[in-house]
This record gives sequence, structure tokens and C-alpha cells, in this order.
Amino acid sequence: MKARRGGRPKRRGAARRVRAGRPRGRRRAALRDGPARDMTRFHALSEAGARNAATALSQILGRPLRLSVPWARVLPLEKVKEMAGGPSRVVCALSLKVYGEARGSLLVVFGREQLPILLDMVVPAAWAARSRDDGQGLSAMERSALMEIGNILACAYLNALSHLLGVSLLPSIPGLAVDMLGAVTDHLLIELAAISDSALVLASQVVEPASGLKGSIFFLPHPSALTVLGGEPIRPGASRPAGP
Amino acid sequence: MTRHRSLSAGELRVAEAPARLSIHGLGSCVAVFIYDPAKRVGGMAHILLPGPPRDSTDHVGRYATTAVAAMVDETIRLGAKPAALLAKVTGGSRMFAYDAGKERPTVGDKNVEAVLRALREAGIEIIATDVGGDHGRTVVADLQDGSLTIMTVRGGSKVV
Repeated sequence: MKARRGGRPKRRGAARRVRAGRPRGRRRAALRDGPARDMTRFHALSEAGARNAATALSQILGRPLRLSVPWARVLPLEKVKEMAGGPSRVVCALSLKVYGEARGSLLVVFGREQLPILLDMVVPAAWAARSRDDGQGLSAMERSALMEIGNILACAYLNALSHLLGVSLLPSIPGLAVDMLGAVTDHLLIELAAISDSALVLASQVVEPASGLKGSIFFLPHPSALTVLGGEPIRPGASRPAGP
Repeated sequence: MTRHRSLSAGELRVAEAPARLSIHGLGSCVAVFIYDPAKRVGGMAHILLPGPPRDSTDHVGRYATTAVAAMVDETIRLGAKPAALLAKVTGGSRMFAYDAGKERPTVGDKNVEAVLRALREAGIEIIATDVGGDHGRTVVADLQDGSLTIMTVRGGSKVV
């Protein structure tokens, strides 16, 4: 703990952060310990996954989609909640675990204000009106449609990575929540916090220009997956991944 | 002037009145607020896990066991009396039902249990809890009066 300097008056109401001291004990964070990573490779994976997901969503919606520049970054855990607009932003989040030869977590995020636009495209109004509200402001039909979109996006995203890397990646059934971004990302941090101080985040955004619909996809590989993602050679000739 | 500090995941802060400590978008993490009403000093921690990995001594704010112990020490340094400390606990939601129907304790449940146990072992009286559920919370602790305001996207706000 940092000692207060003598003679400096204590500020009333000042909040004092408890310092943890220099990190000791068991070494953490594969992301810090390994050699400098080639982020170009992760950018390429992020783009490939996003492009396939955008193709899939475009086919569902029957509209062309644009892909925003995908990025890949190593973020300190406490910064992860800033990656999609901050912890207070209310979003529709679809969360999936990734199993197979490279574990991790996928998060598909739409702003809450985007929901009417998205649902209007995928749920016939008559069906939506007939179903009951589930407490999150969504009817059963709407909930089902959103989970299916999450499923399709995740499968398309992971198919692209599987194809490029020659490994199997399998998504779980999606979970759905309409709530604050901070709340829907806690589980990502919790999974990583026991073994790492940072997260590799592969991010991308798809946009439907006519309606303004925007959806973000975040892939957080588990540290155990980094060798697979970062080390496996990208298969020659795999310039454009196959569609779903 | 009331100072307002927002805690990120794994962070711990202590303060004295007038001050507010807050956490935005609390999901399966747990917020624990301890407070000495006579001295009007207290602290809050944004907890991710029940306990640290073996041999790890850093990031005390992340773990229920180390965070509660550190907050007690720090609030005492600010003038709190150990016997006067009171605690309020919130969070520990299950935001996603991947395997709805299975009655296995979630990570949120485990965090809550670990925090309550750590507080009991430290001899701190728990005077309010608002835990579990499937919704996120934004919480604001006011060092002026020891109140904890909890806000959700669906249900407005309440003060415990």
C-alpha cells in the first residue's frame, strides 16, 4: 500500500484505491508471457470469421451487409467492458461457448435500440403479436428468432476459422439476455480471471446500410487456444472461406 | 464535493463521506459494500471469483476472501471500528441459461456464497442482500448515509 506523504492534507471524501502491490506468486497470463504475438494473424482470423458471418446474415435477411474493419487486440480484463460501448450500455447479447480444438467464448451484440429493426426483418409481425412477453420485453417467437440468428452467426464465424486453421470449433446453444453490457460480459472476465490478466479479443461489426442495423461479434479465445489459433498455418489456397 | 468513483471488475476502493462508489452493469460478479455508520467510512469491492488460485497474492479485489479482508483492513485505517462494520451484498446473477433446468450452482451463486462466508468469518453483520436472479444491476453506495441504491434495466431502482 502506498503511504501518504507527510504534510499533505487528506482530502475529505477522497476514495482510496487499494493497491494490490507488485504481482507475485504464480505467473499468469499466457498473453504476456509468450513471445510477441503476430496480431496480423488474429486480424486475418477476425476478418475471415466476420466475413462468413456477414454472408450468412445477409442470406437470412435478404439484404447486402457491409463489414466494418475487424480488429484484434489484447485488452486488460478491466477494459473488456469498454469494447462495445461501456458497461452501462443496454444491449441484446447472444452468448455462446466455443468447444473443440480451440476453446473460447463468442458474444454477438446488438444495441437495444436495434432490436425493433432486427426483429422486423426476421419475425412476421402477426406471429410476434400473438406470443407472450417473457419479461425481457420479448415474445417467445422473438426470443427464438434472436437465438437462431446468434446460432447462425456463430456457426458461420467458427466455420470460417475451422476452414482456415484445419481444426474443429463447435458452438454451444446460445444464451440470450437484454441487459447492460457490463452484466452480459461478467462471465467472460470470470472465466479468464483465474488464469490471466488480459483477454485477446477478435472483434468485427456488420452493418446493413439501408436500415442502419449494426451487430458486433466478439470472439475471446481461451488462453489455452492461442497456440492453435496463433501457431497453426493458414491452409494454402483458403483465400475465401466457404459459406454456411 | 461528493466524489464519485466507478469500480471496474476486480477493483476495490475505500472512502469516507461524502463519496459514492458505484458499479455499472453487475452480472454474475458480486458487489460487497461495508460501512461504519458512526465514522461514515466504508468500502466496496467488485468481486469475480470466490478465492485466489494457489500461490497467487495479487489482484486482491478480484476474490471474495482477499477483498473482504483487504476492505476491513483499509476501512480500519480510515478510522472504522471493526465491531461497527455492516455489510450489504448484491449481484451474483445468472445472466444466461445455457443449461436451463439443471440445478447446478452458477458462478454467481458461488461468488455470493463465498462473500457471505468471508463476511461472517470476519465478524461483519450482513444487513441487506439483493442477489441472484437473471438481471444486471447498477449499484451506488453512498458513504454519506450507508445506503445502497440498486438499479436494473427492467425494474427501476430500489434502496437497501
